[in-house]
Amino acid sequence: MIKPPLRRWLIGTCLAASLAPAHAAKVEFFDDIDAGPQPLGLEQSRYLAFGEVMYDYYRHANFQSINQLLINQKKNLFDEDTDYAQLLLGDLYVSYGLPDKAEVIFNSLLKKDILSRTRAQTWLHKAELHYREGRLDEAAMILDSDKMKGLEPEDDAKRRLMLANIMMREEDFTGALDYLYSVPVDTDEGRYATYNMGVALIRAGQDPQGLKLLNSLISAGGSSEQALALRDRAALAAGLTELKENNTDAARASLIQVRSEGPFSEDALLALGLANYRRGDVRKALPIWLEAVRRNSSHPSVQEALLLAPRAYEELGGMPQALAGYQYAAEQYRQALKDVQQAMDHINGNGWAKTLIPKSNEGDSLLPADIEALAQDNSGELSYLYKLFASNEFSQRFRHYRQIYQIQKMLEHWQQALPAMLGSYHQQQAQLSQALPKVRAAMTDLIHRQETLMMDADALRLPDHMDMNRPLDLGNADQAIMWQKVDALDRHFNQLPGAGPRNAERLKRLRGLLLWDIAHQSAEQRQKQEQDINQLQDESQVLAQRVAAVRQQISDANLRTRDDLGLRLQQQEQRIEQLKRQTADTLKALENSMRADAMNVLTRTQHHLADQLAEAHLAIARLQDSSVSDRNNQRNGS
Amino acid sequence: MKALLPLLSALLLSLGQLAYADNSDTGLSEQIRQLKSEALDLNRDLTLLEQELLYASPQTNVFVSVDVGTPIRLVDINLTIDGNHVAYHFYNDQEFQALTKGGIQRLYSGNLTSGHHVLSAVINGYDPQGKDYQKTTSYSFTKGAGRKMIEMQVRDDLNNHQHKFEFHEWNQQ
Repeated sequence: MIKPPLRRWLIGTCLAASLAPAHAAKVEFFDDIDAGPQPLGLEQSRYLAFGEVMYDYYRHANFQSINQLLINQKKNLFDEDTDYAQLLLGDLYVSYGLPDKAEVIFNSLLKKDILSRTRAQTWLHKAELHYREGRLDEAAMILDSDKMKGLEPEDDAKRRLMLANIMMREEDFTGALDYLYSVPVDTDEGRYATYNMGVALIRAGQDPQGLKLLNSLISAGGSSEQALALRDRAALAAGLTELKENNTDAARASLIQVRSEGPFSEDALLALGLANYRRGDVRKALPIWLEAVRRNSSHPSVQEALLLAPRAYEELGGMPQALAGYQYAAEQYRQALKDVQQAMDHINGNGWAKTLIPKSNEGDSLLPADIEALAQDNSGELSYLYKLFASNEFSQRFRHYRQIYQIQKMLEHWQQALPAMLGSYHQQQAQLSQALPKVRAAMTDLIHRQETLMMDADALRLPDHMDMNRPLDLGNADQAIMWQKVDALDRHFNQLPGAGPRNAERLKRLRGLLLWDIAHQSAEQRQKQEQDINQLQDESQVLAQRVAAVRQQISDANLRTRDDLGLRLQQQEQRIEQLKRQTADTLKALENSMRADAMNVLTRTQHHLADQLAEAHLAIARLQDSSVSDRNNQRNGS
Repeated sequence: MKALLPLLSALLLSLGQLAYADNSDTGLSEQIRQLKSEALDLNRDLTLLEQELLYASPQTNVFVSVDVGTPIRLVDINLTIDGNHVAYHFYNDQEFQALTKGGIQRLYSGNLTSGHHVLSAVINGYDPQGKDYQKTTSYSFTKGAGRKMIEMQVRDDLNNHQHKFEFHEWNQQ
C-alpha cells in the first residue's frame, strides 16, 4: 500500500523529472496541492487502522495493539488477506503468552502464497515460539534452514542469536561462537549473548575463551543502564573466575571495573577484599570489607563481609576491634533473622503477591516492567528475595500474576462502566423517541426548501456575453437603481411637467452616460457575479450535504430506538462476573505458588543466617577466652 | 578462611545463571491461557459495544502522524475545532518514537454537526539543536453524512529545521 502523500510525491517527482531538472522546490509545490477530500475506501481505512495499531505497538501498549487488531478483524477491516496485520497479531500473541493462537496464525500464513520476506519473517516468529516453549530442536531446524532466506539484517541477527543460544545450551560452543561473531556487540541482544557465551564457556571449563569474551564486554561501549549493569556483571564474573584460579592481580583488575554504586557493587567489594586477602595483603582487604559492612545488611555479600572484617582485624592483631566487629556482626545477624521472620509472616498473609506490584505500574500496560529493577527498587522482604526474582521460573509466574492482575483491573473498569453505558443507552432511546417525530415532520418542509433552493441556484446562469441591451444584469446595485429611475423617467417622459425637447436631450445624455458607466465596470461586475453564483452553488451543495447528514442521523436514530444494544450490554454483565471469578481463582493459585517459592528461599536464608550468627558467637567466645587466658598468663608471669 | 572457596563458587554460580534479554514462556498453565484469551475477547466486544453506543452517527476523527525518522522533536499538540478546545496531547519519548516509526495517533474522535468547520492546531517542538518553537495551522473542512477522517501530517520543514503541516481528508461515501 502506498501512502497518499508518498503517492503524490512520486507523481510530483515523476512530473518534475520529465518537465525540468529535479528540484526540491518543485516537489514541494506538488505536495502543497490540496487534493480535497477523497473517498474513504478499504485501503485508506486499513492504512489508518494499522497506523493506530503500530502506534500502540511501538509505545509498548501491546494489550491495546491486540485489542485494536481484534476489533478491526471483527469489523472485517483486517482479514486473512492482510498478512502484515496477521503477522503482527501472531507476534503479539507470542509475547502475551498465547502461543497456541500464534501458531494457528503462523501456520495459516505459511500455507498461503505470500512475499518471500514475509514468509521468512513468519518462519522466524514460529522458530521463536518453539524456542520460548523449550522446543529447541524444532527451533534450530527452522533457523538453520533455507526458510530463513530473505530476512532483513536486523531479523537475521535475531536468528543467529537464537541459534547461538540453542547451541550454548547444548554445549556446542564452537558452533555458538560461529553464529555469535556476526551479531553486533553494540546491541542489547549482542551484549547478552556475549555474556552468556562467556559464562557458559567458563562453566564448561574453557576459562581462557570465556574470559576473553567477558573482557571484550567490559571494554565494549553502551551507556544505557542495562548495558552498564551487564558490564558490571561481566567484570564481576571475570574477577571471580580469576580469583578461583588464584590469579589475584587479574582478578583485582577486573573487579575494580565494577561501578561502586551499581547493582553488583556489594559482591564486587567482597570479592575484591578476597583478592587482596589471597595475595596476603590483609591490610588492603580490611578497608574494602569495612566499606561492604556499611552497605545494606540484608545483602548476602554484606552478611559475609560482616564476619570477614573482624577476621582481618584478628589477623592484624587488633583484638578489641575484632571483638567489636564480631559483636556487631552478631547484632546484624539477629536483626536480619528478625527481618526474615517478619518477611515470612508477611508472605503468609493474604494479598502478599499484590504488594509486589509497584503502585506506579498499576494502571500501565499489561506487560510487566523489568523484574530485576523491581526487585532492587523494593525494600523489605524483597531484598531477601532477589534470588527469587532473578530466576526465570519465578519471574514468569510474577509476569503472569501482573498480567492477570491487570485483567482484573480491566474487568473492574468494565463492571463500573456497564451501568453507565446502559443508563446512557436508555436515555438516548427516550430522547430520540421524543424528538424523532418532530424532527421528521420538520425535515419534510426543510427538504422541500433545500431542493427548491438548489434548483434555483443551479438555474442561475450568466449569459455567454455581456449584453448592453440588459444593463440591469450588468450594473452594480447603485447603477441598477439609477438605471431604473432613468428608465422610468424615459417611459413616462411625455406625462411629466416640463417635457420639452431640451429636457429630452438632457435625459438622453444622462441615459448615455449611465450606460457608459455600466459598460465601463461591467467586466468587474461580471466577475463578482460569477463569484457570487459559485458561492451560492457551494452553499447550496453544503446545505444538501447537511440535509443528507440529518437524514442519515434520523435513520441511525430510528435504528437506535429499535436495536438490541441494551440487551447485548446486559449480556456482558454475566461474562464479566464469570471472568472475575476465574481471575480471582487464578491469582490465588499463582500467589500460592509464588509464596511457596518465597518461603523456600527465606527458610534457606534463615538457616544460613543462623549458621553465621553461631559462627559470630563462637568467634566472640574464642576471643573472650583467649583474652582471659592472656590475662591469666600475664598475671602468672608477673 | 578455607570456607572462602565455596563462597566464591556460590557467587560465581549465581552469576552463571544465563542472562537473557527475553524470558522463556515455559510453565504457562492452560488456565492462564484460557483466561487471557477470554479477557481479550471480552475487551474487544465491550469496546465495540461502547463505540456503537457513543458513535451511533458517523463520527469525525483527527489523526496525527509525523515523518519517519524525523530529527525534530514534537512536544505537544493542542487541537481546537470551531474555536472549542477538543484535544491536547503531550508526547513522552516512547509515544514520539512510536510516531517516528510510522505509528498514527487518533487525537480526536467525536460527533460534529454537518457543515463547515475550522480545525486549528498548535504544536510545540524542539529543532535538532534543541531550540524550542511553536507552529500554528488552520484547516477548513465540511462534514457530510458519512464518517470523516482527517490525517494531520506533521512534516519536516528541513529548510527551517521546524515542522510544517499537511492535511489529508477522507469521506465515507
